[in-house]
Amino acid sequence: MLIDIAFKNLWQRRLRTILTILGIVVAVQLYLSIGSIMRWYDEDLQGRLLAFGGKVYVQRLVSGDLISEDFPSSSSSIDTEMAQELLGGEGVDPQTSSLALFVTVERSLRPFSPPLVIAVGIQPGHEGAFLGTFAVSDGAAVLRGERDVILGRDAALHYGSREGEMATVGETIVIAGETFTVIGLLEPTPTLFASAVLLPLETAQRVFDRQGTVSAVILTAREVGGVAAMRTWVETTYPALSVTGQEELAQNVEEMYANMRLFFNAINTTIILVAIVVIMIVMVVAVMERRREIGTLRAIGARKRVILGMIVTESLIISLIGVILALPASIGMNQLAWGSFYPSEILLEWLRSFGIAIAIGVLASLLPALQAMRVDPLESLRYE
Amino acid sequence: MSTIIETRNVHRVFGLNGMTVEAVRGISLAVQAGEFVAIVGPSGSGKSSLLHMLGAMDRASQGEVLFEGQDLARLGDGQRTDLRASKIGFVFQTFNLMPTLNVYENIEIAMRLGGVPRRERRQRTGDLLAKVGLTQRARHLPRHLSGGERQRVAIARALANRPRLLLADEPTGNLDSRTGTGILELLRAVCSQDGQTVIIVTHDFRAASYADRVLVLRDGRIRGETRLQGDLDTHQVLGQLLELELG
Ligand SMILES: Nc1ncnc2c1ncn2[C@@H]1O[C@H](COP(=O)(O)OP(=O)(O)OP(=O)(O)O)[C@@H](O)[C@H]1O
Ligand SMILES: [Mg+2]
Repeated sequence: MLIDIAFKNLWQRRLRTILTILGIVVAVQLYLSIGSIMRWYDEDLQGRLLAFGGKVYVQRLVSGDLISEDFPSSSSSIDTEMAQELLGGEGVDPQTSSLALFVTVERSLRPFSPPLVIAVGIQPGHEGAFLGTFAVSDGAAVLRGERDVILGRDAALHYGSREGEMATVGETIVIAGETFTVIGLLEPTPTLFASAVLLPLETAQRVFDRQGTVSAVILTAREVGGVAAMRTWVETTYPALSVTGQEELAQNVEEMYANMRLFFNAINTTIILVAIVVIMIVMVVAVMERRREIGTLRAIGARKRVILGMIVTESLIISLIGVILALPASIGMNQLAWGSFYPSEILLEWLRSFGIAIAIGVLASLLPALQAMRVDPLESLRYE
Repeated sequence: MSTIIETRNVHRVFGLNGMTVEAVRGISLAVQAGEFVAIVGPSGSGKSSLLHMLGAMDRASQGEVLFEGQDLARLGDGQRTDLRASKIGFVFQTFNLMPTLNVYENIEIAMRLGGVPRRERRQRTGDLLAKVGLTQRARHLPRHLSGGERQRVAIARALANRPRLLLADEPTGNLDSRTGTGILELLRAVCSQDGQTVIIVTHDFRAASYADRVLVLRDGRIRGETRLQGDLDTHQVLGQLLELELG
């Protein structure tokens, strides 16, 4: 009811109000960013899992390597000869299996993230062993020439001739000092695939100086349900190698994700608590300064709930303006930090943060409102 | 004439750090509707304490305060607040205007709290501004007004909901004598022309001389009571008499 007075009070101490709002903008902006990071991980990990159905990766892991953090492992190394033996193993479908060499070409700027560009050396005709369910949306799906490459979306962006544009089919790009021709582009995929540059295995071995070795053997079972038998065969025949299937990956991903969730949620909770405390301090001080005015309002007939409403309104104004301004701030920060963002998702998150803003505003105002309601009308008469 | 407010053997005891101060020690009085009463007395005699109880801002420690026959002690905080909003106007020595609201809004706020509809508020605020002679200053903030102008805004605010009772604690205490006279004449006019009941607290005898009746307080008790009639000369004489009585 005293909304205009709430606005005028805030306007009267505008420097303080602006600084407080700024604090809320920073907090909400952080909250939004963390939200989009979390969502990005979620989608990415789910998508990656999907691509590993019915397959196992056989690698020689350096002890201590966490599968989920560095998968496929770029430090794993298997002799080509041994790898060939694996392809002929029990229950293995050699047609849809492949030797693979993984080499990080460009590291990511994002924290905890897979490489920005990863070269994937694969046997021509066996691209599906790596790609699984993901398809080429543009151009060819088979590496025919020695210098053919198929690019994931992120890799295509990286090699685009202009900022923000993807390299197109037919374009030539330079990797490790050698020129290649883009023959295909993948559909939108999770990061691991999006950052992939598929090239013929032999070319990759030569270019990256890894002759005679591969990083992994990707095995696909000949029959549905034959994965377990195939695994057992590999594990008993080659005890030094480690086998990673969908189950391990899922478990690892889940563990990592749970930890990350916990971590991010802790940060988010802290952010919200800080926002509440910031507004609370400002409002407590405001009530302290205005006890006489509040007492006067009470003396001339303002009921306690009118005073309550005024304080809650002031607090809500701060938190809501903070949230409204946080959207452009958030978009700006995303552009700066990542060079891109998920517009629709940020918008959605922003709508959700309105609810949070209201919660922050109301919670922050409870204590000051209580103090304000306790102001006695007689306080309006103190003039020392 | 009907009694608008009445006290029966009212006491007010303040407790401070284990010490108790008895500010009001058994006061019984009755004020009739349309009367202009001045309460005078030396500093610390309990004038303000009494006025706060009459204005439903403070509760009596003992005894009864009856407003229109209703015991204020029986009312809850909300009801007493509503009473202050609609039936009792209060003018403060220190004006107590809202610093962020302009003159117009300061008068209107009382009606908003009293639940007066918008259209009527505009009408009445205009009338009140004219009555206190501040129509030209409607958009000014209190800090740009002189003390006398501020007090006139405060009186307009106190009158906004057409209260039956107008209380003023030292309404001229912070004003020079000429400005004070203007305020007192305004209060006198409110009483004589509009039939409003007015009770003021003062220790200025010139101020008391505007009243119909003067109550003299000392040590929390009523020590004397004088009815004033006629012209200013007799007021002056009575004022001097009272001064003697107060010492
Ligand atoms: N809230 C309070 N707590 C403690 N003592 C109080 C309180 N209010 C008033 N008193 C005491 O009660 C006595 C009467 O005070 P009161 O303000 O009613 O006097 P007064 O006649 O209005 O004086 P003045 O002319 O100086 O305004 C004083 O001794 C004062 O110290
Ligand atoms: Mg006093």
